[in-house]
Order: sequence, then structure tokens, then C-alpha cells
Amino acid sequence: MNEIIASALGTTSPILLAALGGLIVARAGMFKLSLEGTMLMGAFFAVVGVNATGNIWFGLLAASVAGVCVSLIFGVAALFLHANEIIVGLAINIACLGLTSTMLVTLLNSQGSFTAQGKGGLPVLNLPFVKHDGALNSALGGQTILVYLAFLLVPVVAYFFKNTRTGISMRAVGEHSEAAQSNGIRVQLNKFLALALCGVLCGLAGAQLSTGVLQNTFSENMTQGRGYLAFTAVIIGGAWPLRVLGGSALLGGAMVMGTVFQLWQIPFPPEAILASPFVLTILVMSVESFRRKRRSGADFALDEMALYDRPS
Amino acid sequence: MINTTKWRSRLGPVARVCLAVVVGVVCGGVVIWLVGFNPLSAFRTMVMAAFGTSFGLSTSLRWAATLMLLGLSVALSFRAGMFNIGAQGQFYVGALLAVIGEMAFGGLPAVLAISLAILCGALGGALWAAIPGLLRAYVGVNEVVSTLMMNFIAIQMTNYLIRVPFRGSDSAGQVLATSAVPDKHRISMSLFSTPVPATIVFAVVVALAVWIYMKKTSWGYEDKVSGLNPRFAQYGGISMRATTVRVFLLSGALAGVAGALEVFGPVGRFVGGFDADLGFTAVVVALAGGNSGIGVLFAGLFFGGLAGAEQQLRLLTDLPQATILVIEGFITLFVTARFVVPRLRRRRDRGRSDRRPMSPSEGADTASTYRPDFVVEGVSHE
Repeated sequence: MNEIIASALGTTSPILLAALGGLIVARAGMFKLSLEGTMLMGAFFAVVGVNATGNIWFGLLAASVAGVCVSLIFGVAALFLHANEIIVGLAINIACLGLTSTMLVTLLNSQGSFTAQGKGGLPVLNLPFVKHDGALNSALGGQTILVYLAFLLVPVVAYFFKNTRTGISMRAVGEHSEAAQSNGIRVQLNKFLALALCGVLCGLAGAQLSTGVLQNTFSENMTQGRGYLAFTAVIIGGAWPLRVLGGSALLGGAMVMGTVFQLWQIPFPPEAILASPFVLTILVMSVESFRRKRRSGADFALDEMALYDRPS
Repeated sequence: MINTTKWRSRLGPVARVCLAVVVGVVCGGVVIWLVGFNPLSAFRTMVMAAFGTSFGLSTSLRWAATLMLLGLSVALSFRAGMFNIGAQGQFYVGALLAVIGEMAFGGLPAVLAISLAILCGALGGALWAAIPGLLRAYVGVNEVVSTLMMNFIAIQMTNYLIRVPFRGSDSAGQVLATSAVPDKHRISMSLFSTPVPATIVFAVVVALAVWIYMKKTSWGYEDKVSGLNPRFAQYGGISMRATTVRVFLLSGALAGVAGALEVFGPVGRFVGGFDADLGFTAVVVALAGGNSGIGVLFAGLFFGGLAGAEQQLRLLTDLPQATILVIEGFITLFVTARFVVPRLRRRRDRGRSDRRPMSPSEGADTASTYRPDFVVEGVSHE
């Protein structure tokens, strides 16, 4: 049981970190599918940073900077070049997969995966005041600092959007950019700030995968869709911090339960458990749309469609 | 007199796509140069790898066929203003249902069996797309998210189906797959001993059919108008619900057919998680093809060539295969970008009726009018 909780915490935290990043850009009014690519870049550069300097903090710094750079490319393409956000998101995911795999071969001279040998991984925290080998510590303690950071950031992000000037401006930009602008809020600046924050969080999420879960190892496409899971968590949570935490925990929990069912050979298809969060997402969205329709009374089939920039 | 406005409106999109491809290829070239290779010789190798040899040509055309069909599927929905990014899931469900159909109709004469099986594939894709389509039309669920979710559900569902009920007796080791499709039901990958696979002929025929649908039928016209201006379409008497459901069904059916051809042609069975991420490449193909039936043919050839080069590159140079993905990613990045300053464009386009009315925010310094509608509002307003 303790192992299950511990591994659920471990799987949830990278999803949660990236999902908080996705939450911030969603609140700032952007549709960012590129969490996946940004995480992958972060995972790669964390290993590169550790390998070059031997210092884990430089690894985390490199991951954050890489995440911010990727995120800003999204911003330039979507905000300056007026490209479609959804397409740009997909593009960045494709390009980051290509870039990391290319650099794995050319920069690190490895095929498939690379490990920075003999360098320390992320520091691990044990719970204070309890025995190190006790039940409580084996369930909740002994995780990397980024795991705890992810959970700590949930109230921080909530506070940021509720009580700080920047957070409220950012939300205003997302909810009604023209109104925000006429009140003197700088729309582009706020969007880029949101993107930068998202870049840092996604970079750290990637770093947790490569330097926290694994021992400074990067392997090709190691995020394996976790960025899309994070995006899903944002949707399940309606871009609210506490609900996003719930969504991330659900997705992380489903992944763990899928493995547990296979290990214990429980005669229930683990695929059903793995698919259930996505079914739930569609259900949540349906209920939400239905409620919105009831509230506004508008013909949603028309109104919703008008929201898009038609991809052309 | 040459009607310049007409030509500008026709050539504009083509020029835009070409510009995106050029900028994307140049960016890819810079990356290739940065990692220590000569970009020009790398590009020459890629072209040689894709089209220079008979084996390369055959590989490129094989991918081109699949990408054309998937690209047509995506183009059909994009043109109607619907963001179906679930081609991958519809492709998987179509492919699996086609394999199951082949098992069911295996006793019939080969031509009949394979036709019915491909129809099963179309049905599978259409059914899978119908769910987000109906949700979009009747509940108003954002189809970007729902089709993305349907992809993940399709992967898990097909994984289960090929692990338990349809597991192939000859499927080896860790890789899950159905039994191999018998040779008599395989589609020839070298017509008349040339490197041309039969699937590409099929894809070209479908592309022409889609072109006719788009240009010459009233349904195709309704799709287009709904995409350009849903409000106008509705006032003109077009049912948005019917259009939405129809577009999703057709789009899904095309993706399902692509899946069916993939299992009867090059792959030969349903392998768990095969051709992953093809659905996203299809989005690029559709956009690079300007969402038109004929455009997608050319875009499919181009990206099929890239995919063919990717497979051959390992044999020819030390250049990592993943550089192809980088080029693809950069082209995607720029394919919807507007390099012309929008402010100037707007002045020129003023008064043209076939454009979506500009929303006020486009005049401000915000770029996109799209608001992610999954953001639940109103909870925090004290």
C-alpha cells in the first residue's frame, strides 16, 4: 500500500507540474497543446546540464531555461505571427521530439538513451519528526524536492490568481482581452509572462522525469504523452488549481492502478482503467457545456464554433 | 483583362504554404548545420533517399497514400471549421474493424471480402468520429479536446482488443498484434512490378472524389459556408447540426479507410500502437494542402517523401532520422503563420464578403480571438 501511494505521488507530480503550467496559460486565454514538447525539452536539458556541470541545480536551471525558450517560440508564432494556437502546439511537440532525438545523437553521442554517469540526482526529502523507515515516511516521504514543490505550488498558483495584481491582470487578459486592454493592462506582456511561467513549470516537470524518477537518464520520447495527460488534467479541472490537482492525481493514480492490476493479475482489463480519465474528461466537458448552454440560452452549435480562428 | 483580385485570392494561399515550407526547410537546415552536417548535401541525400531509388520511391509512395487519405479526412473537417484532430483514433478503430471484417467475410471471393472489409474500416472510423461530432452538435463540447481524448481511448481500447479477444496466434513476444491478413487479401504494394503501390492509386481516386464533393455538391458547399461564417450559414438555412454530424462522419470514414488500407497493404496486420503520431502529420498535410482535395495530393506526396526519406536515411548517412521530424515540426509551426502584417492585409481585404467578420480584438494587439472554452469562469468572482 505504501509503495502504491509513493508511486502514485511520483507519477502525479510531473503531470501536476506541467498541468499547473497549462493552467496558467489557459487562464491567460491561450490554448497550449505543447506541454508535451516543452516537458521533453526540459527532460533533455536537465540531463545535459547535469552532465556538463555535475551540479543538479544547473540541470534544473538548464531545464527551466529550455522550457522558457520553447514556450516563447510558441508565443512568437501564435502572438506575433498570428499562427493558429492549436497547430503551433502540435508543431512544437513534433519539433521538440525531433530536436531532442537529433541532439541525443549529435550532442551526447548516444542512440536511444543517455545517462550522465556518477552525477547526483535530485535531492530527496524525508519527512521530519518521523522514522525514516517508518510506514508514513515510506508512503509520503523520500520523494524528490520537485514532487513536494509540485504540490506546494497548487496553493501558490491559487493565491497568485486570486490575490496578486499580476495574477488578476493575467486572468483579465484571458477572460476579455479587449476589456483588459482598455483598462491599461498590457495584453501581450501578460501572455508572454504566462508562457514563461508555463515554460519553467514544464521544464521542471521534464527534469523530474529524467533526473528525479530516473538517474539522470534521457531516453527518446521519454515523456510518452505525459504532456497530453497534463493538458487533460487542466481540462478536467476547468483550469482551477485544486481541481487540476484532482485531475492530475486521477491520471497519475490511473497509471499506477493500471500497473498494479497487471502485476497482481487482477482479471480486469488495465486498459479500461487507463482509458477512464479520458472518458471522464469528455463527460466533464459535456456537463460543463450543457450547463453553459442552460445559463446563456444561446445556440451553442453556432456560438462555440464562432470562437475559432478557422485553420487555413 | 486579367482579373488580378481573383488570381491573388487563388495564389495567395499557395504562396503562403510555399513560404511556410521554405521557412520550415531553412530552419531545419539551420538545425542540421548546428549539429554539424552540411545542410545542402543533407537535403540532396534526403531527396535521393525519398525519390532517387526504386525502393525509396516505393516507400515514399506508400506513406504518401496513407497521409493523403488521413490528410483528406482532416481537410474535410477543417474546411467546415471543425477541428478534428482525432484522425489517429479513427484510423486505429477503422484499421481494427477492417481486420475483424476481413475475418468475418474471409470466406467470400477475395475482391468482395476486401471491399466489405474496407467498408468496415470506414464504418469504424465514422462511428468513432460520430461521438465527438454528436457531442459537438447537440451538447456543444469543444471538439479539439474530445477528439484528442478519443485518440487516447482508441489506443487503450484497441490495445485491449488485440491483447485478449483478437490476439493473433502467431503474434510474437511483447508486441501485441492480430493474426496476419492472408496473402490473398493483401493489397499489392508493387503494381505491375513497378514501385507504385496500389494504395496510392486508391488514394488519388478518393482525393478526386473528395474534390468533387467539395466543389460540386451542395453538401460540400454547405460545409464551406459553415466553415467561413457559421452565422451566415445558419441564416441561409443550413442546419449546423446536420453539417457538423455529416462532416465528422465523412472525416472519420476517410481516416478509417486509411487504417484499413494500412493493414491490408504495407503492414499486413493490426500491430499495437502502429504508425503512432500519423494523425498529427495528417493535420500538417491538410493545412499544407490548403484543405483542398487536389492540394492534399501534393502535400501528401511531399510529406510522404519526408517519411520515405526518414526510413532510408539510416542507410545513407550519419544524419539522425529525427532531423526529418524537426523539418516537419518547423513547417507545421509556420504553415498557419501570417508573415504579411495583418494590418495591411486587412485594408486590402476590406469589403470582401467571403471573410469572417473581424472581431474587435484583432485590431488590438491581441493575436487570437480563440478563448479556450474549458476554462470554467464565474467560480472565483466574489
